Amino acid sequence: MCEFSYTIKDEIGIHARPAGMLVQIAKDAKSDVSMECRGKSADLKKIFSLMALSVKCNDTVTVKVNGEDEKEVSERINKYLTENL
Amino acid sequence: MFEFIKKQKEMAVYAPMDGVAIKLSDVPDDAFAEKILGDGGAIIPENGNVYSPVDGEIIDITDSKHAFCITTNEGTEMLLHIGIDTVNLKGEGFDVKILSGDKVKAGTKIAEIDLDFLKKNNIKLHTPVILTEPENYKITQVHEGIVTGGRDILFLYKKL
Repeated sequence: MCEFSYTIKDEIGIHARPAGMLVQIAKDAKSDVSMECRGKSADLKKIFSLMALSVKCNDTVTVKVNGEDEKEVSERINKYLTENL
Repeated sequence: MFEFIKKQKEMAVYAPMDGVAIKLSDVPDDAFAEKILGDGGAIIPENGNVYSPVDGEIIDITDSKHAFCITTNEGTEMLLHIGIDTVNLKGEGFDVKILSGDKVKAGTKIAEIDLDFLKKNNIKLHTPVILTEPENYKITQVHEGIVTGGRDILFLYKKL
């Protein structure tokens, strides 16, 4: 399993558009992908699940990727977060 | 109309607002137009009344009050997103009438929006309604043109 944490810097947090992009990356993955924030966990392949986390600015999220392409997927998500959020 | 839907096993999503129905691909935001968030239809509203597009449950309302996650009674997950880049208003101009967890009927009034305030803040009013698990459904018909919110069909879909 690959795991990393990231602190959101975007002042409006993870709203619909970045959520859609993250879900797109997760859906393309063979691995299971989850995001945790403030004690709650979301299936990153489901936009509802992610939006219900209501991740805000300065929240630290933990992304867990588990499966055959975990390394590559983890890097893609990390890159997206760093560049956009 | 209802008999027709039943026979074809098609399900209806109603217009969430009064206005003009357009294709999702005509929404001026790639996340919607390119169907990154899901597939469905959209409205350019002419007034601020917002109605539930389906019978179902409100699963989540974003803090900025402009996006509603709804699960239909048949279990379909959909997102109603009012305006483009509305997230920047942080909820101002939105009067939401329901709470997360509320059961709603198609046509239940769920919010009132100050469209003039949105326009003043250069928010595009395009309001998409999308199925967020497009891999599980097929959109069979999309309405275009003038619609009455909560009463006219925006699009029909089937389970795959």
